[in-house]
Amino acid sequence: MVFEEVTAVWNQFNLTERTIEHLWMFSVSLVISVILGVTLGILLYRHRNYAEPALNGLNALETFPDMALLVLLIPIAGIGEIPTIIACIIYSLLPVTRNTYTGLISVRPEILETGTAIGLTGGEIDRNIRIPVSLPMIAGGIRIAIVFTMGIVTLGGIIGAGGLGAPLQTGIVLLLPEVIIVTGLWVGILAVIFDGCAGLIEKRLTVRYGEW
Amino acid sequence: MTSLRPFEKINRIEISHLSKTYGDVTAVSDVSLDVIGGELMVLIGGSGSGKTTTLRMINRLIEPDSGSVKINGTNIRDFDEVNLRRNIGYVIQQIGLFSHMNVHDNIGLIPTVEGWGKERIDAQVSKLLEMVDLPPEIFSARYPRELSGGQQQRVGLARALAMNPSLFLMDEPFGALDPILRKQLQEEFLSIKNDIGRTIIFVTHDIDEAFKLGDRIGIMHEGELVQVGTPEELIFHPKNDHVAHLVEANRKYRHIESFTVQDLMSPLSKRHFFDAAVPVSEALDKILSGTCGTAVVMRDGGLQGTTSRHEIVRNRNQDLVMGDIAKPPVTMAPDDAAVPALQEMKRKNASSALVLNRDGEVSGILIPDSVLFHII
Repeated sequence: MVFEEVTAVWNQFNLTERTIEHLWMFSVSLVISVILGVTLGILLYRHRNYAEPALNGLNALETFPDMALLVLLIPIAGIGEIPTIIACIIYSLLPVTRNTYTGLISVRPEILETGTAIGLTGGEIDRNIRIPVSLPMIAGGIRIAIVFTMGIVTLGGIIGAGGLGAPLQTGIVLLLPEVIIVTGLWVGILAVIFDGCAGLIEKRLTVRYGEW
Repeated sequence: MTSLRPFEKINRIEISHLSKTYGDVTAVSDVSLDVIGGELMVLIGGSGSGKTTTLRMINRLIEPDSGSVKINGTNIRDFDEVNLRRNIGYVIQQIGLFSHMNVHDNIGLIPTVEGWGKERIDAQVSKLLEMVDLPPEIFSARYPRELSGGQQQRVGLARALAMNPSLFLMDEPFGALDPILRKQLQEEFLSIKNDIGRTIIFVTHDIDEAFKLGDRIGIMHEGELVQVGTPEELIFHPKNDHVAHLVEANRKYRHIESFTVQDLMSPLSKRHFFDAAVPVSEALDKILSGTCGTAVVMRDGGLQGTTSRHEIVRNRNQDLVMGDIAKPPVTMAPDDAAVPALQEMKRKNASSALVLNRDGEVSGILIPDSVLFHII
C-alpha cells in the first residue's frame, strides 16, 4: 500500500532524475567549496594578518538568510543551477576555511619543534606533520559543509534549479502532502547518509592522525 | 635529496663564551666547555639553569647572542642547519614521536626525506628496532599511542639513531619515566652507548643519573657553567657550596662504588720514607711527628716494605734498623676500584696499603681511617 503510493509519487515526479540532478549540484558545490576553502585556509595560515578580517567577512556572509541570498543572486547569476551552486559555496566556505586555518595553526608547537630539531625543513614539516595532523579538523569542517550544501541545494528548487527541491516546491504550491512527505523524507535520508559517511571518515582520520 | 655529512666523527666540540638572554633574563651566561669526542658529557642543573638552552644552541634550535660552537674546528654557523640537525641525534623528554605516524615511519622519516630507497629504509628501521630490543615484526606497524612509555622512549632513541649520527643531544630523555623503568632504560642506554661509542651531550636534573651515565659532568647554575669534571673531581673538589650541595658531598658514601683507590688515597710525605739502614730509634722522632702511622722502608732506591708506628715504638730500644722490622705491604694500583681494595685490606687485616703506580713508585697510601674522612 504505502510502497505503491511512494512508487507512484516517485515515478510521477521523476524522483530518480531529480535525485541525480540533486546529487550533481551537491557534488559540484561540495568539491568547489572544499578546494576553495582548503586553499583559502592555507593562504590565511600563510598570511596570518588577514585571517581575522577574512574569517569575520565569511562569518558575516554566513549570517545572511539563505532565501534572501538566493533572491539577491538572481540579478547577478540568474536562476537555476548556477546561483544555487554559488549559494552553496558561499555558505560552505566558512566552515571549511575556518577549520583548515584552525587545524593548521593549532598543531602543538612541540611537535613542530621536534620536526625542526630532527632536521626537517619548513616545507617537509608542513607536508609530513602539519597537514596530516590537521586532517581531522579539516574533515570536521567538510562535514559541516555537507549538511549546509544539502540544505541549500534543496532550497534551489525555489529558483528553478531542479533537484529534489523542485518536486518539494510543487508539493508546497499545489498542496500535495504525499509529495512533500516522500520527497522531504528522501532528502532527509540522503542528508543523514552523507553526514553519517562524513562522520565516519572524520572519525577514522581522528583515529589515524589525531592527537592522543 | 641526499646531503653530505658535515662530520663523520666528533673529535672535539668547542663551546666558547656562549651567552643568551631573553629580555632581562639571562638564560646562558658566558659558557665555555670542551667536549671530547666519544665522551658522554652531562649538563646538570635545576630548572632555569640554562642547561637546555645550552644544548639547543648546539643544534641551532636557538641562536646565541654571542659566543660560538665549533664542531671539529668548524663553526656550526657554517653548516646548513637542516643538514647539521640531521646528523645530530636528538632525544627529548616528551619523546616527540609523531602520533600520526607508525613506528616505522617515525624512525624512517629523515631517511625518507633524505631520499633513501624503500629497502634501505626498511633495513635501517629493522636494525634500529632490534638494537633497542623492540622486535620489528611486532612494533613496526604500531602507532605511538599503542606503546608503553618505555617503548616510546626506545623508539625515540631509535629515531635519533636513524641517520647514524656521531653526536647525540639528549634532554632529560628518561625524565618522564617512572623510577624503575628509568633505571632499566639507563642500564640499556649504557650498553647501547658502549656499543655505538659516540659523543653524547646529556641534560638532566637528576644527580644520580648524571653520576651513573656521565664521563664528565658540567654543573650549571643560573646560566653559568660552575664546574666541569669527573664525578670524583666534583665530589672531592667541589668549587663552591652550590656544587657541594648538588653532588651531595655530605653523602659521598652513596657513590662509593664509583671511586677508585686514587680517589681515596692519601699522599705520603717524604718524612715517611726511611732507608732500610736507618736505626729504628732514629726513625722514632720522625714518625711520631707525622700524621700518618705508616713508614715506608726503602732499600737501594726500591721498596722493601712498610712498618707501622706501633712497631717502631715497640722496637725503639732494640738495636734494630728499619729494614729489620719492615714487612711486605699490601699494594694496589691507583685505578683499582676502591671497594674491592678495601675489602682485600679487611681480609688481610692490613692497617694500610701502599698505592703503587705503574713504575712501582709509591704514589700514596690507603688508610681505612682516612678513607672514612674522604667519604663522609
